[in-house]
Amino acid sequence: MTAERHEEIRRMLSAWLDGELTQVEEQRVRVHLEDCAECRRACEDMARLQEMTRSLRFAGPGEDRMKEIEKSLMVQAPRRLGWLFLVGGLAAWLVYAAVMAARHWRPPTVEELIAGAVVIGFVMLLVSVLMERVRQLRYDRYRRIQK
Amino acid sequence: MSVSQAGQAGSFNEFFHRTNRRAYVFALHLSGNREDAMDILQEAYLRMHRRWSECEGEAKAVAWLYTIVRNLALDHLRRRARRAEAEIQESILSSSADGPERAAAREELSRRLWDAIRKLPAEQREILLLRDWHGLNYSEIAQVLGLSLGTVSSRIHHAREKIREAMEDYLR
Repeated sequence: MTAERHEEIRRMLSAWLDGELTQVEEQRVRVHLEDCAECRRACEDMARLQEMTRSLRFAGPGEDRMKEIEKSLMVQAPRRLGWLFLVGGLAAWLVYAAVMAARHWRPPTVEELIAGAVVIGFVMLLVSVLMERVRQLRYDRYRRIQK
Repeated sequence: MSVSQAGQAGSFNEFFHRTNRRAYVFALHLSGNREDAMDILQEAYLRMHRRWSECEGEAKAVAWLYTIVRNLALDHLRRRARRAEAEIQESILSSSADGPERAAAREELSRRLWDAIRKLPAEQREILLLRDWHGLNYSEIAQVLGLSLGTVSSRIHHAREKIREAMEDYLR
């Protein structure tokens, strides 16, 4: 057996252990291992080390902090729904108000002007938050990650 | 159950419970700091949660999670001067199921092995742990790290050869 062939098989040992070779490559490695004691030993060592690495135990995260994360995730769903209702409701209300104003036009009362100012202020704040979110999304490094 | 298997059917909540411990360890290995690891974990799951509905089946969810954790950890590292190795060392545990002598021997072996893994170049250490400890397959690792399958295979092989050399005395 040539040294090149031996080296080639040697490089395939890890992938063989991980079940990542094609059927043909697997067969080649298997045949080689039957004849080569050195590679057999290397393979056994790697398998043992792999098992040892797998059984390494690391301390997990603190339970309290994990519960905190879980809670923060739980509020996400209602928050999204809340935004949907808020934006949808506001848009519908503005359209309705515009249609009514066009149909029955008359000078607004002081109360209506004050209420209008509050609504305009609220809408502007909402738009600024939405614009900020859209701006962040443009620079979000993770949005193109394949899911 | 390996992390790869975790991304099967189920809700986000189940996915969170099945994967958070391993994702935390991954974040800790990258950032070297427990507080940073927790921050990374929180941010990663929040980002996933926002776009969970876009996830085409959960099979790729684990690779997606690890990619986000990795990118966030790299951002943290850029802001920090260096990794805090001591906190990772402290987090290695021995098995409580063993007797005292056996537990001590196992702990010693674990520490030796961890020392050998720690001394690997960063790109080999990361890939070895993703394969052998986190249980990701080569294509998931390639996706997380943005590498070709050939590079993944080659790095894992070189990492294992180096560990084998470093642990020679313990293997005989």
